[in-house]
Amino acid sequence: MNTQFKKGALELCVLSQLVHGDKYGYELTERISGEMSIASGTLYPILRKLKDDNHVTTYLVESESGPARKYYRLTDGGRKYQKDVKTEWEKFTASVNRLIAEEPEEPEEPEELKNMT
Amino acid sequence: MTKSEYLNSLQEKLEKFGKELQEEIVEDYKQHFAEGEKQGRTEEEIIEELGNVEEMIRELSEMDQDRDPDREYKKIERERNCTYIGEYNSIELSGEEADIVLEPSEGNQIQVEYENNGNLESQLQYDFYQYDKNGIFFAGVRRKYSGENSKTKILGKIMFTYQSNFFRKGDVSIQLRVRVPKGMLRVLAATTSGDISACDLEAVELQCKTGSGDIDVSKARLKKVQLSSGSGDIDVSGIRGESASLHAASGDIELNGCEVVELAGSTASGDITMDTRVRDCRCSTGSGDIELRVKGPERVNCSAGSGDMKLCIQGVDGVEARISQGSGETKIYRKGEESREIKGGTYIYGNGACKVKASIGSGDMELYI
Repeated sequence: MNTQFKKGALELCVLSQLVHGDKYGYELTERISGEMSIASGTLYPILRKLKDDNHVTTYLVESESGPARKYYRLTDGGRKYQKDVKTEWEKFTASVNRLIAEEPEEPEEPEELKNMT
Repeated sequence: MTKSEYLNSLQEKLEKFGKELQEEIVEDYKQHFAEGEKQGRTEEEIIEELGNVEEMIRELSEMDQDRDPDREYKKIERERNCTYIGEYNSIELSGEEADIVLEPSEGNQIQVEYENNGNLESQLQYDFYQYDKNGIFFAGVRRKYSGENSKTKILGKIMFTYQSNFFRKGDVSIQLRVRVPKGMLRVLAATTSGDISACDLEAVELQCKTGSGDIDVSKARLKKVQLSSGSGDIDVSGIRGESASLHAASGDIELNGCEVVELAGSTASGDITMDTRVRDCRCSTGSGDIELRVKGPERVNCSAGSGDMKLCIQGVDGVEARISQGSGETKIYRKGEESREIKGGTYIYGNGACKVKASIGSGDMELYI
């Protein structure tokens, strides 16, 4: 897949996963890699970038076993950003869908061929 | 591949992105492993799921490039902007190669802005520090790594071996801007090659030292000022205080519009230019020139080795001049009189209240009284 395209899409997926509640890294990557074949590892840089850009914040929650879980939460800015990107995405995919669904125009059969049959 | 092999390779490949990011991503991966194991997955499965490390690294590199240059620049550059409130009576700043800018603080806090705009090497080498002890506020720039042959790995290969002679000085651009509250007992700023400038300070004592940088002090109320530079110049204007001592090895010294009780200026090979109100004034240079215009002095003591000297004494009732000279010639100028050449010796004009002692080696002297 085109990487630019994929990056934007993955970012939107990650953001959208957080719209209805905070998630920790594993939960988030599992959900996304369950839907599409991607290396889960590549989602961590995306999460990190979203944090750098202040679209998400993180906090740690102690878990009964194993290391503390890092949860991701959308910021207000991130929520708005998700909405904007989603709208953009929908417009874009709608255009793509229209374009790829277009039936090719029936080419008119040349005269000679008609005569030959 | 085992989990530890995988994590090791991850750690190694993340090195070029800096410690902070490296730790964060490795931590994310470790957590991923822990969660996966909890779900009963094998290491193999989790590794497969996380995928090729290279792919993630590529993602990370692309993100770095995507950032707009300005932002990226600010991210890499080491910046610190802090305000300190405390019972400090003194400030000691050490700048290494950094420039130090001292400004007055509005209130009683010390504000420090540290900015490292140099190239990557300089950013890797220098670090900001701050601490306090016994009421003294210490801050400055220090070299991050010590040791003669520290090698720094950037982008997976050794980009430079750092020993001071490998270091390209022109690429360092670090600034330490400190806002100083009024009434500090002592403000000390020292650098090896940075410039030091201070403006509008009010303190009991100011001390600035630099190796090859310049020193610029203006509009300050200081009881005591001590400035010394190696090869840089010293420029002082508009200060009021009891004593000022300015020393440069090879730089020039310039002092204008000040009001100082005791003033001492010395340089080995630089020039000294002063235009000020002063009571006691002592100047000496080895091979440079001296040009002095002093108002209301009681004592002036000047010596030049091979340079020329021009002394202009104003606002006094009389002068007692003790001249000693080598091979040059001395001319004396008095208002309403024709200039005349004099030899070494003592000359008294008016009530002789202002004692002037001037000695010159091979240069010429002009004395205006």
